Amino acid sequence: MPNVVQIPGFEKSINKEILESPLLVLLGVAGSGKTMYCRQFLLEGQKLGEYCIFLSSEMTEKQYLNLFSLSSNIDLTLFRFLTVSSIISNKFDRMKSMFLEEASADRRTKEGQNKDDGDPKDLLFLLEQIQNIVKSIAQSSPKKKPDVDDNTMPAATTKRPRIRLVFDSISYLQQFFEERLILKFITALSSILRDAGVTAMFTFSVSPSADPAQSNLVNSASSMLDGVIEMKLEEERGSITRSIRLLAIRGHPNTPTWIQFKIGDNGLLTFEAPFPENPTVTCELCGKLIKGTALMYLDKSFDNSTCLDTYKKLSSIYGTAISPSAGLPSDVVNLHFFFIDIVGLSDPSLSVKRQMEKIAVLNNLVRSCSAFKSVSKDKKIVLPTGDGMAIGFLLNAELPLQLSIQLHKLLKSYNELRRTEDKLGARIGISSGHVFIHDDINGNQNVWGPGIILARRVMDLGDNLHILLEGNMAKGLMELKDEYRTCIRELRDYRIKHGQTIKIFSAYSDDFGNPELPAKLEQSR
Amino acid sequence: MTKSLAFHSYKGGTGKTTIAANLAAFLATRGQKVFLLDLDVYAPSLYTYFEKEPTTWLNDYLNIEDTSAKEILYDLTDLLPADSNSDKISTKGRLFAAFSNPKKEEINKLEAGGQSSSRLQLLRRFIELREELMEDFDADYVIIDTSPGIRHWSINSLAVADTILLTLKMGDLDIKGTKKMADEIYSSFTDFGAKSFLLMNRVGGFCVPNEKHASHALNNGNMNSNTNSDYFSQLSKDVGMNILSSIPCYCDIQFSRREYLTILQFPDHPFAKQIECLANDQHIK
Repeated sequence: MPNVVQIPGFEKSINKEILESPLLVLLGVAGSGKTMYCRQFLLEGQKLGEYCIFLSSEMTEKQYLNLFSLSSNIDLTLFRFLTVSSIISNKFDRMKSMFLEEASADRRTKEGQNKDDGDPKDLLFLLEQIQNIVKSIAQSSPKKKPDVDDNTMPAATTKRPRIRLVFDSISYLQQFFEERLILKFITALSSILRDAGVTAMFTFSVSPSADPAQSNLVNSASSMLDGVIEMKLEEERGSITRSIRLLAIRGHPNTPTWIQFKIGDNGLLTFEAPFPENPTVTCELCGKLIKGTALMYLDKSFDNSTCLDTYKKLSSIYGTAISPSAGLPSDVVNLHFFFIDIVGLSDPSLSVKRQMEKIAVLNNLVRSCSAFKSVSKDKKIVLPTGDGMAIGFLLNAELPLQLSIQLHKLLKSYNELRRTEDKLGARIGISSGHVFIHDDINGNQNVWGPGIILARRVMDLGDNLHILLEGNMAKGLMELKDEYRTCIRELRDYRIKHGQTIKIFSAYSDDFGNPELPAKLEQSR
Repeated sequence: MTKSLAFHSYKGGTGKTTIAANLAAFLATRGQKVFLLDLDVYAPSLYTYFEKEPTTWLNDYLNIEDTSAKEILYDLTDLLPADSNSDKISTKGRLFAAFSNPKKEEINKLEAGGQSSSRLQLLRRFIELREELMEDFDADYVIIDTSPGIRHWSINSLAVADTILLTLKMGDLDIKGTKKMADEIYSSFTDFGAKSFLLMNRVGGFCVPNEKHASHALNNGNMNSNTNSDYFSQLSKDVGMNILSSIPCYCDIQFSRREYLTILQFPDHPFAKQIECLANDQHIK
């Protein structure tokens, strides 16, 4: 049977050389093969006579049995299964009834609560269920490894049964619980698992586009646990490639190396090739086999300094997506950018749920602006940035400013009746310039280039409610219409990254914008 | 060590191909081993300077994996003066060129049908060509004539060069566009070691290369009038690049019915002297 330890670096970590029973994070986008990898992780454990606990967020018992029945050589007496969703969903059914019964209660009070927030007791209940399973296994006799005599059994197995656990996936909990609760849950669970000497895998589904809220949870969880395994899914011309690598393992130097794998009809993973003693590494830019010592930049290898410098130059323009799979962008266009982010979204006192609500409100407000609605999809490109968005308009240079003005008017009415903590603050940067358009791995259009970078830098200078414009864009608009001359004012020059100096203008009136000088410009006086 | 120069411009018609071809020829007459590459892939014209009808092209190297550099390089050394009384001329130099195919289907192929991974393969072949010229052919100079503006192959060409010469002629649109392009693109190259300079071409005021003006050019190197000088200083400041040279407009070259290498056919022409000045600049030689 193919072995999960074929991930470069993983063998040592799980072979007690580094950690006796590591607790690991398994990251990957949907479809990257996390569940199937976990399945194999458990089957490998079963093969060694270890008990296996499978906690699934959504799978039913029938689905679980189907998943493992693909393997002909399975001893189900070693397996324990728990559906996480049933625990939480049942609780919610009861909560729903309670809410319905209390329909006459004060509406205002209820609206002030986060109705969808999960009850921490659910997590406690789940923890108890897991603890009970682990305890019941610990009290049973250790199983013998099939076809292996006692002399070859690891010493530890003669003392207490060895256990493997998979929690697939932690990300599911984010729908119901705040990040801090999930982290507390992971802390408590890892404590239980360490006490019982359990080797465990916690899966996290990550979004292909960066999601700061999600990565915060992953980052925090990773720092609590012993290592991180990463999976990726790439698609090109209808063909899917899956890869896996050990990203980090506590207390052990590790060079993350991707290895491709396939999932067979029988559900088993077959790895591209056994990991060689001296792995072959190719240059990220020229594609040549690197014979000597590779130059490393980010997580990429380069044959020589010329290749590295050329890569740096190209990635500075095309973006770091240059790779054998992503290739190079296809088209270059001049776009007029509207770059916005929500002010104060990363405030640690703001729950993930509130953050997401604010993002949703901003999206709805932008969508309802005529400057956005009136432009067809092929004349604009919208890029979510996590805490805001960038919109590139292809033809009309006025649209970013018009959208800003319309949005500010909507924001004003939205914020009018809301409490301070519920108000939505935003800052906007406007610029135009060239960008390269390329398709990401999901086939979505993405852009990278000087145009969008400049808009971002202009926006970064602003405070709440600022609408800042880059000099050339502002001058162009002021030449175009008198109404812009009355609302666009020159602020001052500002030296941005790489020593480039740009002129900053601000658009404001009684209805929109912020007449104050941005703090960053004030400080740079 | 090989020097890699790229001639670029905001828009076409600035004379970058003329300067690149003449500089390549001049450097070869000075004993250098020079490889001139036509990367103006969307509107190639370099081959017209050498009166060649190429049968193999740079495109073949980029598109076909097992094509060697030898197959697409044209040895133009025989165009160089075989013998000369001038001690400046040396026949030890070699001049090679690889031409870009002007056929529409070949231009489309270089766009790789919009396939981003195929574009990377083409770029890799281009990088391979540069390395082959540097290592196997022991090039002293690789001179690249790029596409104007911000386009895929102009970016690729600029990324592999260690010195970029941004050519522009007098004209507000040209200068405005050049400023914008310099702002947007050039820091991406100069931040990682490349040097970039402005190269003023077809500078007005010297349309008729009469004796007076020609001698002025010879004496001055950079033939700037006071007005031009002030203007150039401001331009250099605005764009953030030094002006390496400013070459006057010569009607006999500008309105010639065919392209030719002034440096070889009329070595005493003021334009040839300008090329010589450029070649002698510390950033080029």
